[in-house]
Amino acid sequence: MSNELVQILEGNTFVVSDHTGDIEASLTDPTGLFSFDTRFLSEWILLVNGSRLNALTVDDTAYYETRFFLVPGTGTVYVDSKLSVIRVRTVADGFYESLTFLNHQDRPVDLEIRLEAASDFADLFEVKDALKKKGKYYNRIEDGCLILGYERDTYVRETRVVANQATTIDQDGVEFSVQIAPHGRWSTDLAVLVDLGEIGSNHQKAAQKSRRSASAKARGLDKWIERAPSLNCSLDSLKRTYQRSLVDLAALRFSTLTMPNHALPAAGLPWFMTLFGRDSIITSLQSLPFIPELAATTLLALGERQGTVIDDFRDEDPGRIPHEMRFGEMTAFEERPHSPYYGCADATPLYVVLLDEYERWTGDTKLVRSLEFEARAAINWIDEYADLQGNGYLSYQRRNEKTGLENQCWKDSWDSISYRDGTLPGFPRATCELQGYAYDAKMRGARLAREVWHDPAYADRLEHEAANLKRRFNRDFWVKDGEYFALALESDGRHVDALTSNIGHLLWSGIVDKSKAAAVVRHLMGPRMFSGWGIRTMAQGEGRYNPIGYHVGTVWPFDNSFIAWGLRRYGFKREAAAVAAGILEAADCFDGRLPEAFGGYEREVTQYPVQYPTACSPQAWSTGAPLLLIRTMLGLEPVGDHLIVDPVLPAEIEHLELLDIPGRWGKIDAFGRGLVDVANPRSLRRTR
Amino acid sequence: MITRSEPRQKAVDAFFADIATRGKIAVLGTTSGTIRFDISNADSLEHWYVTVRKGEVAVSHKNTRADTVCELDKGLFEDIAEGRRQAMSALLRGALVAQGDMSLLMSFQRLFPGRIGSKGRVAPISEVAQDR
Repeated sequence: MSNELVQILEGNTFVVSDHTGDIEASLTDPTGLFSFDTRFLSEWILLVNGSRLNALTVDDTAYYETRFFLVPGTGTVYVDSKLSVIRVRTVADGFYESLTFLNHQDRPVDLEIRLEAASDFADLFEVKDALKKKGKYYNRIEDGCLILGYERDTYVRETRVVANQATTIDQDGVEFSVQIAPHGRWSTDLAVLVDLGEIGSNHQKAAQKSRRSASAKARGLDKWIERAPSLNCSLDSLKRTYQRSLVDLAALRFSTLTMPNHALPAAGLPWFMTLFGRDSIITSLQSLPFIPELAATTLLALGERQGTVIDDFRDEDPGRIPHEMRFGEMTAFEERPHSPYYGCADATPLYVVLLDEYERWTGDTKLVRSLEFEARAAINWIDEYADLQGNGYLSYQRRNEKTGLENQCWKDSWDSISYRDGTLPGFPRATCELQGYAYDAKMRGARLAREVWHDPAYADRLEHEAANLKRRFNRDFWVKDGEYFALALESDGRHVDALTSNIGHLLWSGIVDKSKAAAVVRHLMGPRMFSGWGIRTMAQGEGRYNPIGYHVGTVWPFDNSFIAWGLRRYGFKREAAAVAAGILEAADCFDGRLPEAFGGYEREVTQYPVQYPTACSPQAWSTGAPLLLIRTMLGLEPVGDHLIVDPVLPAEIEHLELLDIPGRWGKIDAFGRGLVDVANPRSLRRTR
Repeated sequence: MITRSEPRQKAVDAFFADIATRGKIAVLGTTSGTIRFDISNADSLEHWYVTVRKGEVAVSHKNTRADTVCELDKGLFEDIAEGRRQAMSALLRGALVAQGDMSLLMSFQRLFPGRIGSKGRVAPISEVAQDR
């Protein structure tokens, strides 16, 4: 991925190319023009007099536009070129490419300019698993356009190459024969448009409407940043990180077919540009104090797709919030269950958590009223459909054994849930953080029932159930000899006893007995878990611990942002500041863009956070992490119609102000001064 | 993989008769609008109008203005109505062609059953004990 460029426009249309702008997809090189999980262009090669060009510089400052400065030549040694080429590509409903050729000689030059075009119409799932196509390809030339097509029964996808000035159009590309005067220039514009047939028509109309000049788009991005609170700080690095997060969130915006004019956060660029229950909810929670409309769209879009029936292929139950939505060929032919797929155990309780948090910030009771049915159905799902062990705990086990997900919590890799000795438990699995989310969902559901839905009896019932769950949880999950909560319970009640960061999420949910919180924090901030940059997913010394194991030792920024929030909830403000300081310093090492995860090595050993190689960047919940950390450090908490500000900042941040925080109070400013010495975060002094 | 076990001539009629007689349908509690289904086979074209008013469903053949128009083969409708095929996938495939308000279709398709043969969760141990 590292050598490739990605461009995108507010949605799931994006281009991945090499540094000359060429696309030449292969099994190991997933470049192309993608839209709705389908590759619409797998080859797009610019040839000048039969030869490919070399990149001098690439300017990709805007996420939707890239300028490639190219010259002829073989590549290794640069010789003064007699010709330069400027290739400007803007992504919209496909992409628009403007080519300018500059002749630097004092005599005319004849050029044969060709663009080779081809498409394999691969589904993203096929790109990943290298599967064979079942339909037929066709090419045709129509009204001066080259049309590349693919057809399987009623499924039709087409790519339209529009080249108005082309001298020749053939089955494999378009060609221009031009003569450029001495020191003259020649330009042409091309368009490559994707056609999804009927399903895309609404969406394409919206995309066409939003297709404006690059400068108008830049103004749109400026507006987006302007609408968010402005941050002033004595630390330039934090200002940079904040700015980066806002720009990346703009790039991660995704619109569904039913709400083409509203955006929600997709999970990651480029391969996860779609609606994900968990990722969209988590990112919406993180960005609520900054860009609350993302949460509103997420709640509506997920509510619209909430499960209503029992469907084993899609792991769907009534009330369940979807995990992932896809639009490609394999989903269309029900060879994959993603229309949408529901195999996710945490998105459903988290949906209710987001709904309550959204109302607490915005006061938008209208939306909360309109989603009452969905919220009640989500709460009902917890007890009615997700108590698979029959012990009153939320657990998961897939019913689609072929293409469903085995681990349906956020740590979804095969070895993430284990005993201290590394043994993997059986199914169903009741991981601990799910119980915290269920508790929080019921407490927050109760508040909404009382204050918005005017159903005090339901509120009482939920609070009673939540109190009951909390009491049982603190008894059944507590590992006495280690003084922490087990990662999960087996069906027979045994503790799956690895020490993991999941216990931090429990603080956030509020399910931990006050008397047990200090012990939990001691683990989180102790040397086995806190690396100096952040809290590891799994403690050093556990059987499966590996500092570069995906969920068994790496540090996840999103995970840490929720743990910091949890630390604040239980009054451990200094520890929260220490976690924030570590993650934000790591962010600075990555130019303000936090990766999904980085190595769990001791900070003193590596001096620099070691990035875990992942396919997507930016990743939405990593992008949201600095936002939640800023909220946490400033101690922002909506209470009634007021916003409480209770800053506890690391000493490195001398001064921090966040201006125009939007909410039910109108707009409010928050200020803070750094006082906490985070050099020794393990001293468990409490400020309160 | 999916076999047809029962005669299905009545599947379309049965589906519409069912939704028209269910009373207020909770999952459509905030939904309002009219969908027209144009269901065709070799020698016929049926128009079905489904009007939803906050969960109250009325079905008719009488021509009226529709917010969403869906065209599909009778065989496909029968498959969807009996859980052999899913409406959203059919839409992505182009086998179901929809025009107009997509949100309305999204809400309406909640009335179709889940995949045939689905059993749901394995009954928890305590419940099994209580039941027997």
